Amino acid sequence: MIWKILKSEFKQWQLIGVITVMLLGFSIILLSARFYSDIRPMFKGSDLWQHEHIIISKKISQQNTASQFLGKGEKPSFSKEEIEALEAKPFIKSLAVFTSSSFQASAHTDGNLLGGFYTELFFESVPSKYIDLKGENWAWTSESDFIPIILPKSYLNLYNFGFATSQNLPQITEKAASSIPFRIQIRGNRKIKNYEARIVGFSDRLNTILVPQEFLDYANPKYGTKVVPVSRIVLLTPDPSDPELLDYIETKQYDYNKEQLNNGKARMLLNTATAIVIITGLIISALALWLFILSSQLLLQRNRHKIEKLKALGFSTTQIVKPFVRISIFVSAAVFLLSLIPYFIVTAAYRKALQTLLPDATVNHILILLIGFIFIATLSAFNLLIIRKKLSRI
Amino acid sequence: MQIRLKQIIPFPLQDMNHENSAIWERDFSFESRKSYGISAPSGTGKTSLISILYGLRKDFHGSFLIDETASEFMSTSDWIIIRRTKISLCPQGLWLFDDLSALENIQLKNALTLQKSEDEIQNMLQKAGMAAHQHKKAGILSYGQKQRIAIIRALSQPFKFILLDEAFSHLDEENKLKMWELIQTEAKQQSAGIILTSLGGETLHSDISISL
Repeated sequence: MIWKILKSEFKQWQLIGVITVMLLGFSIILLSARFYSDIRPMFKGSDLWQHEHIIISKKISQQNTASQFLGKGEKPSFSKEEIEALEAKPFIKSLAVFTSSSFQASAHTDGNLLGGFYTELFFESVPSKYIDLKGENWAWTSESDFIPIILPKSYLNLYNFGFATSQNLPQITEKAASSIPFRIQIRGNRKIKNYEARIVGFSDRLNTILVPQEFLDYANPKYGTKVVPVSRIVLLTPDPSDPELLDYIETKQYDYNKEQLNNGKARMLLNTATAIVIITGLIISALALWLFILSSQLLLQRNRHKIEKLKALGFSTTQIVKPFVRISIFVSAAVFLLSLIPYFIVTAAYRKALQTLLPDATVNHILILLIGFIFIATLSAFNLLIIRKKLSRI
Repeated sequence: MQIRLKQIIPFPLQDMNHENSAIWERDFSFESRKSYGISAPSGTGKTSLISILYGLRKDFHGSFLIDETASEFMSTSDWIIIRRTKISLCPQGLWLFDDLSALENIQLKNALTLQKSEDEIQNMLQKAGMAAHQHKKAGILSYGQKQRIAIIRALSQPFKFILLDEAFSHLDEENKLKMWELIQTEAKQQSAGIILTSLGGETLHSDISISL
């Protein structure tokens, strides 16, 4: 009956307007949340907003190679001055040099495992904050007998898709490779030491055989025979597409992985685009909420005298607010249900493309829809709270 | 039930002379089971008094007690309960909803307490001569018809006092008597008091006549 009294001031086109605008904003938010959760796995193990890593080295020229064969000439390396100059640049947030092992090292498997595999090898290390996949094993103290190792993912790919296929050998998964124990022997300064070792991860970013920095800091002075010059540097930059950075690298004739840099640029672009879309959605939603509140207030103001009468007749605020609760629930439910249409249509459309990029991606509609539901319920409750407050003041 | 006034004077009236008033700036008690007729020319505060007693106006000096509760300690929710169960009002402005039918206007109020059955409401409409008009929108009724509906609505709740603010101003003598009888019967049944204001020259008999 209260609704019958208030309804003459109620304008249908206003309701349709509110629903349309809210639907627009809410759909954008829902879709960008979907999109965000879909593309996240592409940057697995990394923060979407992290700084980009770039690894630079000196270019090796032919002349250079020739002179090294003849036993003369220096290997190209970074001087202390060069490193300091890089560090001072505004487009570089921080940098770290690669430490190389200066001792001899070999790895072999026990007994019959993999047919008694044996290889000479080298190690490099960077401070752990530059490593993208640190497990809990990535720690080393001088008491440890165990060395965790990270290999480049390209090594495994090279083996699985090149060597194993052509030589009729079994292909190995990352997990299987990580479970193989082997021994490391290091030699130098007329000393020998044996360690247990295992592969703890495969890195996309760092193209070297990595061990913890602490291990090389300990072993190099003990077993090492010379100081190895710095040949590679990892840079942390907030913007990998900064032309100043690229210019600087070009003029200094440093070598870097262009592919990786392009990836970084693509990620930056994607991040920015996603952020813009989400912000747009939020702005539209905020405007829609404002419109919703405003039209509720309008309805309240137009009915002010009637509400005064109702209160004087003994109706409580709770009773009078009921029709407003009903409108609010109706609007929220309409917006939520209608937004499912664009949500599923658009998701279905782009997921086909995504499927080829991420074949094992799972879709969690429930979570997204639950978040959406909570979002819209909160807006609705917020509006009702304002209405109630206004009503109790009449 | 008792309503005790203690030195009440509305702000707009405080500079006027109230020597002859029985209410303003006096101690006065309204008792249930009695009827009070307040007749005075307009502008002397009849509606102000009704509004104060119904909790609609707070702009006055002094205080009043409903049973033992003082007006200054009554909250909005206390007033909602009082308006539903203790004090009924037929306001001068009637406060009918034009979009609802005459019957719906009564039902709206009755729904709060379910004091009257459908039959009892029909019975009252019959006695007031409004049965034929009950389904008409309140907005198209004449003022006298509206007054009768507003009175029936005021009777459709439990009360210990009923306040009637110039409720008969547009009724002819015959209808006035009919409605007065209806009110008195209901008040008797509920052991309630009646407070009636009029412009003076009132022909209805009330137990106690008061001048403002």
